[in-house]
Order: sequence, then C-alpha cells, then structure tokens
Amino acid sequence: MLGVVELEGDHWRLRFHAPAIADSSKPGQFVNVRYPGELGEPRAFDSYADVVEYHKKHPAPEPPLLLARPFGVHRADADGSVEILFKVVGRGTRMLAKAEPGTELDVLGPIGNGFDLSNPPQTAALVAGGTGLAPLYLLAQRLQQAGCEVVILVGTGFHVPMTVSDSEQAVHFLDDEVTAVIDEYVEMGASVRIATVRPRKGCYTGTAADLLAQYLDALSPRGTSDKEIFSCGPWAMQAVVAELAARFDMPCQVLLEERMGCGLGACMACVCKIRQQSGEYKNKRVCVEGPVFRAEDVGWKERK
Amino acid sequence: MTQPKLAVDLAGLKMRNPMIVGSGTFGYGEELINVAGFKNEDIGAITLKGTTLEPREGNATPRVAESASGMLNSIGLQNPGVDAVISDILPRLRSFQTKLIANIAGRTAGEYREVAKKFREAPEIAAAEVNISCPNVKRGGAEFGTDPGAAAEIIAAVREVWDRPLIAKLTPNVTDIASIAEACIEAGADILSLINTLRAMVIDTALRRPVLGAGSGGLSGPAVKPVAIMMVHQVYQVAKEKNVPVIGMGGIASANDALEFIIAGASAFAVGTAIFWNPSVCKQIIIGLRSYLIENEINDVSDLVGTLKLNQ
Repeated sequence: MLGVVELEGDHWRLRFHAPAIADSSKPGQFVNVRYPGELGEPRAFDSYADVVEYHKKHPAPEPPLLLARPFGVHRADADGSVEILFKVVGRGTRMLAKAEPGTELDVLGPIGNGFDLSNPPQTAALVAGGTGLAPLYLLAQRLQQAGCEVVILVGTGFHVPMTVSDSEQAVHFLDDEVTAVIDEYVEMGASVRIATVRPRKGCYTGTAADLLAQYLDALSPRGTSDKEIFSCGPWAMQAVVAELAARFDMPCQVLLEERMGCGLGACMACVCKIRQQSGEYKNKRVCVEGPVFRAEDVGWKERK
Repeated sequence: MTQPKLAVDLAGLKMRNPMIVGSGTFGYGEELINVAGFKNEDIGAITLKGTTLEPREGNATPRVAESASGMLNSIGLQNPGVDAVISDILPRLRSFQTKLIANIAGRTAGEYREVAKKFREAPEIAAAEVNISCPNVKRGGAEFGTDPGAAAEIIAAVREVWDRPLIAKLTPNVTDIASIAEACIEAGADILSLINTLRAMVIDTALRRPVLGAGSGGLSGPAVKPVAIMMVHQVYQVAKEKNVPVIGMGGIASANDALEFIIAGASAFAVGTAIFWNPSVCKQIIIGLRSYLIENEINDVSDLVGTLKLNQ
C-alpha cells in the first residue's frame, strides 16, 4: 500500500502498487482488496480511569479480516499504481482506512466485465452516485481518448468525495449558478457538474438522476442518437437512471454493486436478476457476469 | 527417503491426494482455473455445487456476511438443475485432471433418487455426495440430516439407484452426530463427510435487522474448525468399526488444519471458504502435508489417519 488519504465525509482514497493490475484494468472492472489487519497489542493500564479514557478514544481492536472487499478501479496509472475510492461503511472499509503505508494488501484483479466500449458513442453521459464516481474516472479517460465528448454528473450527500473548485464556465443545460466542478475531470477535458440534495454553493440542488433528467431535456431537441449513458451508484438511483434512459430511448450501461463472498464466481452470493433472451429474469453473478449490465436487462423491480 | 504416498482410495473413490474442494465453494469447477496460483492438478477431487432436480434461483441477497474468523452464507442452493448440469456443464469439465463428485440435494427422498439416477448416466461423476444438511432451504436439507430415520430414508433412496461411492454429508446442527452417522452407514453410505455449516445469524445494529436477506445462514471458515475436529473425532469412532472412511471439513486454511482432521480420523479432507481469500491455499496445503510426512517419516498419508493419542 502506498497511502490512504481522507477526503470529505469519511470518504477515502487508497493507492497501492500493483503494476500487473494497473496495466490490464479496463473501465468498470474491480479489484478484491483484503487488509489482513491484526489484533491490537495488549495494554497495561495504571488505573480504571485510564481504561475509561483509553476506550473513549479507541474502539476495541477488531479481529483480522477473512474476506476481501470489492472496489471499482478508480485510477490505473502508468507508474504501476492503482487507486480505489471508498466510504467507510463497516469493518472492512474501517480497517482499510487505518492501514499504514507499506502494509501488504491482498489484491486480486482485475475482475469482471468492464463497460462495453466496442462501439463508443459521440457523447457519453456518466452518472455517479457517491463513491459510484470511482469506476467512472478510468471510463472517462478511455472515452476521451476515443474522441468522445464526456459529461460527468455526480450526485453526493452534502460532502463531495473530491476536491471541488469553481469553474468560470456555465454549461448550456443548467443556470449560470451551477459552476462547481471536480478538478481531476476538468483537467481531463470532461464537463463535470455536481448535484447535492442539500443546497450548496455552485451545486445543482437535487439528485444525480434529477441532474441527468435536466441534461437529457436540454439535449432532446438535438436528438439522443450517438449518445450513451454510463452509470454507477446506489440501486435506487440507478433504477431512476434506467427509467430515464428508456424514456429518452438511449442505450445505458450500469455498473451494479452487491455484497460479495469470493469475487471469483464460485460462491454465488452476489446475484442480481437479469432478463434473459426468453424474457425471464434469472439470477446472474455480479462479479463475473457483471458488474456492468445493460440497464434494460436489469430487474429493477425484481429485487425484494 | 522416497516421496510419501499421498494417493488414497476411499471405498473405491481413488484420488491422487486426500484433498477435495468442498461443495458450494467452487461453483461447478470452472471459476478458479483462471486465477494465478490455482491448478486442478493439485487436488484429489472437486465437489460440484449442490444440484437439485429442478433449477433453483436461491435466496434473497445479501447472501454473505463476515463474522470473526468466519463467514455466513445463505445461497439457498442456486443451481441450474441436474439436466442442465449434465448437458451444459459436465462436458466442459471433461478435460479437468481431477475427480468430480456430484452433490445432490432435494425436497423429498424421491427427488434425491431422481437426481442420482440422472447423474448415474454421467460417466464424469466419480462419486455422489448426498447433501442431507443444507441449512439454507426451507424444506428438506437440514431437516433430513437432523433425524436418523429421515437421514436413512434419503440415503437408502439414493443407494437404490447409485452404483458408485456414496457419501453422506452430515450437519453439525444436532445433539448426537454419531447416531446420524450410524443411521447413514446402515442405509448404505460408503463414506461420511462432515461438517456442513453451523446455523448462524449476524445483526446490523443500526437497522436492528439480520444482515442476510434470508435472515439466517450457515457459518463456515476458521471459526468452525474446532467444532468440526471434535465431530470428526466422534464420527470416526463409529465409522472405523464399519470400515467407512470419513471426509473431514470445516475451516481448513493450512496444512496444519488438514493434519488435525487426518489425525482426528479423516481419510480425506475438503477445503472450502479459505479458497475465497487465498486461491492458492490448495497448493500450500499439499506442500505442507508432504513435508510433515517426510519429517515424521510416514510413508503413506493413510497411516496417519486416526492416530490421535488421547490422554488416559
């Protein structure tokens, strides 16, 4: 591991050295990362008051992790380093956030079918919810290289898991107030806009899906052919994105997330209902049969 | 010293070494072949995913949850059904340089028998493991394995039609596992395998709901190993009287874990959950097993089976 830094709101950016993975990662693929961890050192306390003070600051040490956690490849750089973005949501991510540089991580990857870029569109709308932004960086990069115009629409809670700065330039589909951008994507040459549910200066007030709707409305007089939506984020957000794609008759690829056991296709844990040629919905493994699916094939209402 | 003998013959199930991959941790055998560090040639046999008469979609997600040194699963026997396994999957496994064991599940004795009958027509299958112990299906599964009479009924039904080695897979969710083992032997089981997972639950304290979509699941991984060792020891006492070999499993993650099972009485052992975090574990175990035998001057791994020295 090379380093882990905290962004806003308990979102973290972790970088590790893995040239083979950096070389071969395609947009939308993921890595399985396990931080072996360790039990804390036994401690001697001078008094009961010390014990109380200590435990106010330090939670009980956690047992080592058994299973790896899946993370979309955020960046795969020429220097052989790979970056992931995550929010601390449980034991696995909490331990990763505390890992020291130099720690050896178990990393398996790249795993899964990435986005299908065999027929890249002229314009690509990339929609992200929260850390769903992570796998879209590599995608934006490859689409730019293929000569695509890339528009990135990011929805987050109040905190944005990125350094945000204000751009002078307004975009055609939003009013002049919405100017906050994420530098990393601007440098790449992509247009970026941010949606937040709670009003924030420079951001669009609403969800990423609302922002997409606004964009598509503005776009539709000029037609939506040669345009495609790529999406990653929470299930509920992506279900709305899929509806919008259908309404505007646009192709749409979604990257799904599900709790995984092995990440190898062996344990059958990370399934999701996907429509088959017969019209029937069947469980498919997100890890090896996904994680990217066509939005129209996903059984958005099938999930209990 | 010459290389110790690792090949074993369990009631006619001949394997190059005593290491099996446990059912449900390996899909239908194809998933790991692309992972660096894993080779089918290293293992004695692969036990295929539990297979039922009709296709099953399985349980709601989330289907896995981690616990301290363990993992809960509630897959619910998702599988494409025996016909699809035989026609679509088995032909692709023919080139595998290892034995294949079918794992059979069902809701009634008749269903178990039907699945076995269909697998009988598949020459690729070297043995059948009868799963009377899955904790994740509402009907059948564990219900059969927790009652000696019901367990015997299922084993006898499969025995009527199954002409190759028959393995009864036992559940640990019982008071007296030896009595179930005896009932299965009486009904015609050639081999006993144990343990399946322990029934378990993990709670999300923020939501006050079970983490697993199905509510509860089965615990596997290093957390269950001492339970499994004790049960193998108990079952071995009754199985050795009838010359019935035991396949031990439950939390094996190293050669030393495998050795514990062999010493407790297992003629072969299965690796499972450990593959999920260490896909090259099988190679490590075989290397470690071989060096233990050399260091202890044991010529044949079978000579180590059941050599536990109990305090008098």
